[in-house]
Amino acid sequence: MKARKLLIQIPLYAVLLAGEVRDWPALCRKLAEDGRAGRPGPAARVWDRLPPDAREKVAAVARSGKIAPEEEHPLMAALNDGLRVPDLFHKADVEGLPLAEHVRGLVDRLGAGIEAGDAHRLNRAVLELIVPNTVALAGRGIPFGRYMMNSLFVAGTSVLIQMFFSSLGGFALAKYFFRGKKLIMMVMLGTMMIPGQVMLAPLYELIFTMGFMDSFLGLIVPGMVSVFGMFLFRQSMLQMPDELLEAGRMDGCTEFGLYWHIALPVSRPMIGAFCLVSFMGNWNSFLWPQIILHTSDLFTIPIGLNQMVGTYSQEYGVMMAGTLLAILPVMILFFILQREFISGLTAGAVKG
Amino acid sequence: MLGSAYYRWQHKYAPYLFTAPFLLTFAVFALYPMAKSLVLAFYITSGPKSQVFVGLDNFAFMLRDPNFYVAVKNTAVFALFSVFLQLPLSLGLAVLLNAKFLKLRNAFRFGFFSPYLLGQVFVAVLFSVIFAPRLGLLNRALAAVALMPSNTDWLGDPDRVMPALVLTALWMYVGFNMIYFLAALQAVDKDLYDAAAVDGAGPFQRFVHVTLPSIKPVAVFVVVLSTIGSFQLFELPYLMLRNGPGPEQAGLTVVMYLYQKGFEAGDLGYASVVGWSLALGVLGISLLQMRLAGTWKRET
Repeated sequence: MKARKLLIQIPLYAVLLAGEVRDWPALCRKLAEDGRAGRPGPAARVWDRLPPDAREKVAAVARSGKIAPEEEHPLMAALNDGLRVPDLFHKADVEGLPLAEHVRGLVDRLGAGIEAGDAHRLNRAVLELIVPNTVALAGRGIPFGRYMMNSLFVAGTSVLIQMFFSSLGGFALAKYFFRGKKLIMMVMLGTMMIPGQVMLAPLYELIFTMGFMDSFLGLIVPGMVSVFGMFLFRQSMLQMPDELLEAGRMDGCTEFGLYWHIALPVSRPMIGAFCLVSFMGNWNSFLWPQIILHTSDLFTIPIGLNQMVGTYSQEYGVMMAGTLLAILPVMILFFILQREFISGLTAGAVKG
Repeated sequence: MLGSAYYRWQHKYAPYLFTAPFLLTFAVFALYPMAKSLVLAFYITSGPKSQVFVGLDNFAFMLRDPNFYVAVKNTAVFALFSVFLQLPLSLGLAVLLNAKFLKLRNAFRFGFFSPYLLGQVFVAVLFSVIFAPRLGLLNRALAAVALMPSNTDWLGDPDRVMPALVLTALWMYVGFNMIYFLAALQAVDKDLYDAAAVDGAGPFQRFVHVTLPSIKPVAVFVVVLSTIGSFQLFELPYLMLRNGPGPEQAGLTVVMYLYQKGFEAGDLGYASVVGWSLALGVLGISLLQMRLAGTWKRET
């Protein structure tokens, strides 16, 4: 894990403190030397804020020039606690430095003044960049509950939004004749044929510009409508008799009312199937969250598990426990929805 | 109450309003990025902020980069195994599960299918434990039957990385593809079998002349789907090989190459070039497969 991501995740700490500092001993040496000599700059500022015991730890590492893996986390925690102060980083420190863009984004968002909450966020982000493995692992207490809640929130919200918009679109495609319908269908087919990785780089850029980096919005917003879902719902709503809708219109129901009160309840089996497919997709998603999320507080289960594997690769018990917890929700959902799921999966393939 | 003018209005524009969310998100999060990636392909970027126009240099670099060819080769090998090893096994399982005398069919179906539910990330973690050097499950099993010394480092040996990946994918997807074949088998017209039997066709002949042609559309669908999926391989090797390409790049895939260049090195322009190459490659292969399938149909 050591060398990976160094190019993009140049630790802000490192940049701030020495430009080339890439490991703990070098960081500690820089902190201790600049701090004791009182050289103006971020290193001395950091040193000044550190409580005595943290200074001792830093000095010890600086002296010996090495750090045992099990000491990394306590040191990180000590630094982290000591640096929870508002005016630690000055924007001028990083002006003109070749920062990794998400670090730069964080800095840009801070503006001229740094508020306490932001500074803490920045400190955390920066510390985590130095030691990606030890992220948020408070000793052995991995915040698995936290990852779980994050994943549940992201996947749950995504499923609800996707279900609503996809079924609404599918309803229009199934039961209305309108100009551009053919074009929409063709476009949808086209998107399903083209692998999403084509868009990875520009989408990342777009999300960055929108300010959705390192937030759940960056995960949820790009996938609000599922093309697959629209096909699925169109398929099932095609079979719904038109008389049903006409009867509704006679009674003065609005078009949205027809969707809400008639079309949606009729396609209940599809809702089950789509919920599971969509939930699985979101729950297991790795590449996009890996790109978007940087703060460990926001990690979803796959990202958290990956970090954990880096740290506990020799402890199979911990890894298996984590994996078991992680797959539980999908398994439960599958047991509830399995009949709908299998029929939904094969609907397009066999009938089509 | 609703005014009649509003009522007519909402009736007229309903389909547009209903498809608007799709059109909007499609325009912003698919059409724009796709167009943008065509532009980005001509730039070297360092993150989203600094961009330098380089013309066709990105393409030239890709065609010269030996790592790109390693990635393509690995991905192609993996795809070949998926289509020629995994799918026949899926079909075999489906035929077995379709047997008339089989009890507990649904239990078997769920059993074979369930690995797919885990998702690549969790399967990768599981199998990195199975393939672990000394105490890994596979090594201990092999040692128990004395086939091999028990300290084989499966994921640390360049020659063993691809077999390990193929095995993992086999376990994960064989049941998933089986579901499609099984559904197709169950939809085959029973009268055809009876007619063939009357004509004196044995079980094997019935399989070749009745079953295979009947399930062909589904088979083509599964082959195309499986190929597209194979070309997007990323999570399995990335997680099993400790967030990297593995020893001597033995587990480097095209998408991992894209990720490395675009998001570890921060060159979004180059990543776009790789992305387009992947898309065109996948599109070309799928069309070729469908074409081949069509030709075969006309001959029989």
